[in-house]
Amino acid sequence: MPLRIFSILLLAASLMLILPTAWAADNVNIGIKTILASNDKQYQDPQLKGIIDELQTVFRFTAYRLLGQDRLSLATGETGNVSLPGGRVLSVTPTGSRGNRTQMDLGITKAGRRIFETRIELLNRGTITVGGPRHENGFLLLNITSE
Amino acid sequence: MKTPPRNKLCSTEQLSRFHDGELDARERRQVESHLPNCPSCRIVLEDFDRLGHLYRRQADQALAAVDMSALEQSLLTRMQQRGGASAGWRTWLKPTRLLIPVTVAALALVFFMIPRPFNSVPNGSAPSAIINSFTGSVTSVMLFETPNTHQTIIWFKEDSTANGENDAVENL
Amino acid sequence: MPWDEPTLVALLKQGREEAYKVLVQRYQEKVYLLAYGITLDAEESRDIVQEVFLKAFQSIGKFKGQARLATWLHRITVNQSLNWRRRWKRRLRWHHHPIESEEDGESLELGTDEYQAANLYERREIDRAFKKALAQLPEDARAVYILKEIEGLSYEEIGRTLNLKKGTVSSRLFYARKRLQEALSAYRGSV
Repeated sequence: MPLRIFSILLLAASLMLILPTAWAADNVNIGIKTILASNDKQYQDPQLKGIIDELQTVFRFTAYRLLGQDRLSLATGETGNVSLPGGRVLSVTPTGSRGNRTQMDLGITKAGRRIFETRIELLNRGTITVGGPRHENGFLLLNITSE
Repeated sequence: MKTPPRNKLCSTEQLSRFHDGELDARERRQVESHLPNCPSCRIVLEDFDRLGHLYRRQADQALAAVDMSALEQSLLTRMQQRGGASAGWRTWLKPTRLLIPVTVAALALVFFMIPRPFNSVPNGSAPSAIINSFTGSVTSVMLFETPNTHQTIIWFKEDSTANGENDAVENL
Repeated sequence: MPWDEPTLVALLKQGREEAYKVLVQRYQEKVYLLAYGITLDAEESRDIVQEVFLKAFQSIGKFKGQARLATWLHRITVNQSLNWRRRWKRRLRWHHHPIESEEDGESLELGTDEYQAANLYERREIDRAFKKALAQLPEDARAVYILKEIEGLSYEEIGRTLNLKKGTVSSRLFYARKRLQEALSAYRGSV
């Protein structure tokens, strides 16, 4: 009987330690960087150092500027929205997980109209960049990371 | 093949219900007495049979094209990964079952007390994102993968003439 | 001895793995056919089958046994299929899987009527025309048609599955048949 009580107490103490972390782990943490890429005068935003090197393997823009940075912590099925320049809104909805990937729906609306929608499986701690919307004299790049 | 003329007793909607056995006894008798005198109604019923046969044939073909046992296996694996349905939490209080949670609890305590020496990084060879589906008001989409870290990039062109989602997607 | 439905439901609620296996084996073909009949997409239908059984697995505790297990699964399948279809108006596959194969999988056998190339060609034309007409039906009419022709449900059972009145089931079924009949009127006498 004492062993049984001790075991239950030990389990309860461990749960108190584990549960807050586990609960947070059920939420998906997503970082979004809104970048303006253009062929303006050469400029590389120091806050984008690691990202620009990677993007430059595909793009040939001369200037990259960080316009905004957001972080969402979302439960499965919960939608988070991020305001983007030009009256656009990015919505992110984690829908589940498969192996080491998080399934999520990404959408962009402009003036209330859905202009982009995709369903992806993003590697944990992986990044996807969605680009193309025009802004000022360049293009918006949305650098989305599962943290 | 010319369709024989129909008379005012012919109601294809009623025939549809007759075909499905959904008429009451009086209506059914009416149709049954009408049919021998109405070739066009008989043709309609044959057509209904034919459509059902066609549909079941295509359904068989659709089934034959699927590896059901692979689907079953994949499904059962996913269900097992989900941990099974509630097995009855009361069983965990039985003495013989305490050893497992105690061991887990002890390991968890140890795990949380030791600082993690490294952060796990994404697998270097797989693309960072798999695109399962896409739709939207676009006229063109391009997909890239960076050579070093295999980061996925989607590039889409907003449809500036914006006639609506369907039109835009039709143009892809 | 195979489990009857009350036994299967009781075992499912206890979380017995072998009960889930039986559930999948008993119903996955029906679920697939229903999903395929609505979405007309093999890959979507495979995904929907997975989602349906996972949802059943998660929600079995809420199943009260007032309807048959099949009716409950039909309902989940139709909802999943219609939601899938409404959300994704056009799907692009990035992995180059063919969207739908035109082949009906039939093989020619020498010395039989089926070796008649013209007959086989016409049969394929009819199948194509039927598939096209089916795809043009509204999804709710298609759902009713499938439940009738594949599952053989009565109007009342279809109504319970889709939450429709009997009269609505009747008119949707009639509408589906009328459209399909019109599409195939050129082939009357064949098949």
